[in-house]
Amino acid sequence: MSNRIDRRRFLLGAGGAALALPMLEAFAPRKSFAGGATAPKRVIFVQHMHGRPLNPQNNQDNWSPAAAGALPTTISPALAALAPIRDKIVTIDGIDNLVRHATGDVGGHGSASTTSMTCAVPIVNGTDNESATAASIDYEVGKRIRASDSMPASIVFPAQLAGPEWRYNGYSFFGPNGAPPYIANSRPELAVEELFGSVQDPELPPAAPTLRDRLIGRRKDILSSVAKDFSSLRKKLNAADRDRLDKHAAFIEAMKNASTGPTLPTDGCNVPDVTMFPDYAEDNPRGESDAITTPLQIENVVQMLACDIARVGVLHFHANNDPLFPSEFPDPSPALLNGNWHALIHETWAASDPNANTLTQAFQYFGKSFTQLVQRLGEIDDLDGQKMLDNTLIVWVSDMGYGSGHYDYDVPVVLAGMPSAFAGGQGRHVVANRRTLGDLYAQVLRMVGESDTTFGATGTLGDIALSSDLVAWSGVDISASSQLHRGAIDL
Amino acid sequence: MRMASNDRWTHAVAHLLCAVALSGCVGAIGDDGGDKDPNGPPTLLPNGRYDCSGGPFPVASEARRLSVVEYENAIRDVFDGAATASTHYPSSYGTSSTGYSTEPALYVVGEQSVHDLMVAAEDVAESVAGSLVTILPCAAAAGAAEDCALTFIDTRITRAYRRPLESEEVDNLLATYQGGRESGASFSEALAMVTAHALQSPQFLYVTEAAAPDARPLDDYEIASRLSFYLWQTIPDETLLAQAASGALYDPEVRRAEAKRMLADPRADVALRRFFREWSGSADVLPSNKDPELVPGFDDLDAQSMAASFDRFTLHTARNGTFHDLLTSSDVWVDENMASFLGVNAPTSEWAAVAVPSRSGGVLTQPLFLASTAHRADTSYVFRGRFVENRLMCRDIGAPPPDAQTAFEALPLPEDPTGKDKSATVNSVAQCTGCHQLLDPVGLSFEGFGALGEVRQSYPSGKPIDPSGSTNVDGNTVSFESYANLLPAIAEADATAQCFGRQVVRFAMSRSDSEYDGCAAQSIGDMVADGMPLADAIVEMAVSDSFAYRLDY
Repeated sequence: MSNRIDRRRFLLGAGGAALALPMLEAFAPRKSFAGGATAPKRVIFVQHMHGRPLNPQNNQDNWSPAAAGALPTTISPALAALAPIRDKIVTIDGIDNLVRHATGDVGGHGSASTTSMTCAVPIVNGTDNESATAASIDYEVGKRIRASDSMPASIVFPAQLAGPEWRYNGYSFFGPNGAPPYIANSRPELAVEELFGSVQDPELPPAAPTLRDRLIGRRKDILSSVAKDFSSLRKKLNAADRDRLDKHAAFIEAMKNASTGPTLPTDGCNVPDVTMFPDYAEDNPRGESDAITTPLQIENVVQMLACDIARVGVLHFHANNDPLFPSEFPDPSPALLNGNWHALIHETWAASDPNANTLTQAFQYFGKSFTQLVQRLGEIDDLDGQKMLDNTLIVWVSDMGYGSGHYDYDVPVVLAGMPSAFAGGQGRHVVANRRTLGDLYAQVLRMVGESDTTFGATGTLGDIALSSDLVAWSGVDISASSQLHRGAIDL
Repeated sequence: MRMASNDRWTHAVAHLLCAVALSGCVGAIGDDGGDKDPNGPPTLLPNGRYDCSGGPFPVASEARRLSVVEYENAIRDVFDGAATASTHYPSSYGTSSTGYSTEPALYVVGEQSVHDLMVAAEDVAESVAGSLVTILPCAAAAGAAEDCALTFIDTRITRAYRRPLESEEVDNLLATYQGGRESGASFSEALAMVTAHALQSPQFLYVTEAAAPDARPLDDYEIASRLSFYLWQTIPDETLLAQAASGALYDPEVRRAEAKRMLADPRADVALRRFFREWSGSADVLPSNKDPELVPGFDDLDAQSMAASFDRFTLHTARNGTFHDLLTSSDVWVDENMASFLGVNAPTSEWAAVAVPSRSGGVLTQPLFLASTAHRADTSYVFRGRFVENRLMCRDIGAPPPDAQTAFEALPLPEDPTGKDKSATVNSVAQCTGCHQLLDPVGLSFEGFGALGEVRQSYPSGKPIDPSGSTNVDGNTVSFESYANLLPAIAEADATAQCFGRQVVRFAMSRSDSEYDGCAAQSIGDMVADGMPLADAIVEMAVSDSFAYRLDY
């Protein structure tokens, strides 16, 4: 196995030590342990936009398996692509995004994006213009299970290519206090370069330090000097400006003081060979390039975990408007209503709708990608002699419930991997008795060994509601006294 | 020689007395003629105008990180083009509340962006080291040492920080150099470390001004920064810095002269382009985002020409026209591609402005604006109406009700609904009428232009287009047959002129405007209303008290 250089390590070796050795030591590959060692826990969050197909009236929901209990062979029309991994998954109904409900906005995407992974009330700036106020669950989990605080808590991978006109900014995923998340490039070959760096042949003598090596070696001292500049300038500013600079300085301080801890790459750690990547159109007109880039990004997420660059990753199917799902509709003739996913899912309500089959077929793109991810993790040997899938929990959610009405109840949830964390076993469908995303994410934290009983906003809906007009949900009892956390889910 | 701050206040009082003597004492309604509160906003009179006698009227500004464009321009200008900006510099994050992209909240840093700033600084440091002799001639000497490093700090880092460095800052940068040399770095490597240090410091990354718990004049370097970032989106040049060093920028006439110089310079193109693009919400169109049936054969080259055409129109009008021209001109700039799109003769030169009678709405009938305010295959009278209501007339139509989307989807529409069919349906819902009564007629007046900005005679269904309607302009009902006789009324309205003044303030100050900005906005609005050249109105912002005084409120 070749050496791997992690160019994303913030600081290297013993601070201030002589140049050559500490850097090379930090760059040296970590040997994987023989079987019997402890493998780290890992989590992958998968999110697609706009919820589950169709609507709940008249039993037209084609996402839910027929009943609670053992999953049928075909699972459901929308989840048909998961059939090969049926015994490794748990599907869940009855999970609601109550915090989004508190914004008084059941129709907007901004409130869905800023609450579905944070469970925190956002700041509402206007229509579809909200600012998140807390970190998303992936960041929180990552902070708890990472090797050291120099390891990114979570890295967000856009599953679909973001063309030059579409700047991907994470949407549903956030760092501390709603700050930008750590985002990998949506172009898979650039994500490889940024995350895995260049490879050094261990047979060759180490190269002489370059200017970049020297700059990296002096980072701690330079950052200390930069911190002095912050300290000096802030004295002259007003309180609000000081606060802005102080927050920036705090990140610098954390970066400066981060220690490098040992990492635990698996034997399956294998930097993707970008020279073998197929060509694709970078501007991704109508999503055609996703057929190539989505599988590559899936592998990038897997390898990020296998090489222990981070222990939490996100695979985000972020494209709202353009995807043609070429894996499902290879014929370029317009198969989707208005040619975009957003219109298709929001405007197809009934099973009898002429676009219903198209909608269900389009949904297979997400299911197939999820299946590929799970299967790939099941192929790689882990440090403890099991497969990576045995130590990796995968959580697939969406930003909405029923996409047709932009509803925030019955968010579609599929869990996979880490079977030891499922007391009730896998291969089954669970109908939760009106649990919330906060309940789900708190349980995810417990599944990786933490003890949280809540995640995000706590109390009742009335405690956090931004609007007194709590729109009623058909068939679901929601009021100001509704608890934001209702208990564990039967997993 | 720089004016001391107490001399500056003496000057301000003299300015006030002179203004009073010339204009007569206006005073504020309800007061007893006593001294104006230096920390208070201008008084809003019952006629809706501000009493701008008794100034100055200081305004607030927030510390903000350089935008990507400002960063790239700054690197270019700090090192005279000899160093390359880094692509790792973190871009904006979030949505602007004013529509202008330099708002401070868009550039908040997080864990990753702080790391990216470090990598970006190192990228530029490597670039500087590679061109060091060009950037710093003394570096060519054998044995170049600390005095040469000080020259680097004194010249290049002073530029980067936009003002003379304080001794503490010089010592801190020099310590980085010395630490590098002690670690075994060569002279050029140590200066690369100084560069990496400086480009991560807030003195470079942030546009800041000292606190003003009570109103105070800005210092000249603060004024220079406001001017250069407003008009050039970069650091002050040597001429502006020299004016700052001499203390001259406090004089509004010196600021006027500098602003005119800067506006005439091609470096102002980037700021002007950004203003008009963000003000109008006009973004580059991708052929893949539009229905190919709209204008068959519309390709990437056509899209590029459409974008360039818009920019040429707005920049030319900004420098040579009036606000009335901006809203009612029939000119469209064409090259061969745009000529084909518009169905006019191709120009003899690469680009030329041609009068297109069917497009007499200035910026609102430029194809790029019309394409930007439309869906993939259909127009959006709501988007177009919203621009007029919010950005042109500052009527600030609020957000739709929480369940608007759901409610709209449930409404019954006729087959192949026209724009007026949709509007009538929406307006039949009581909670929608308040906004759509204002939005819809104005937006529908542009229905004669399709989703790519092309002229159309009917809807795809064959149904006729009816762009007629009526709306309220400056308290008067204006009936119109289409945008062509609506826009002149809007262009003549005082409310429109005053709104433009507010937009300029928002752009220049990177925030929403408030009552404190009333006089700056009003002076710009008055010039616009009087038919003064648009360039003069843009310059007026720099002349106003807003550019020379500050108050934290």
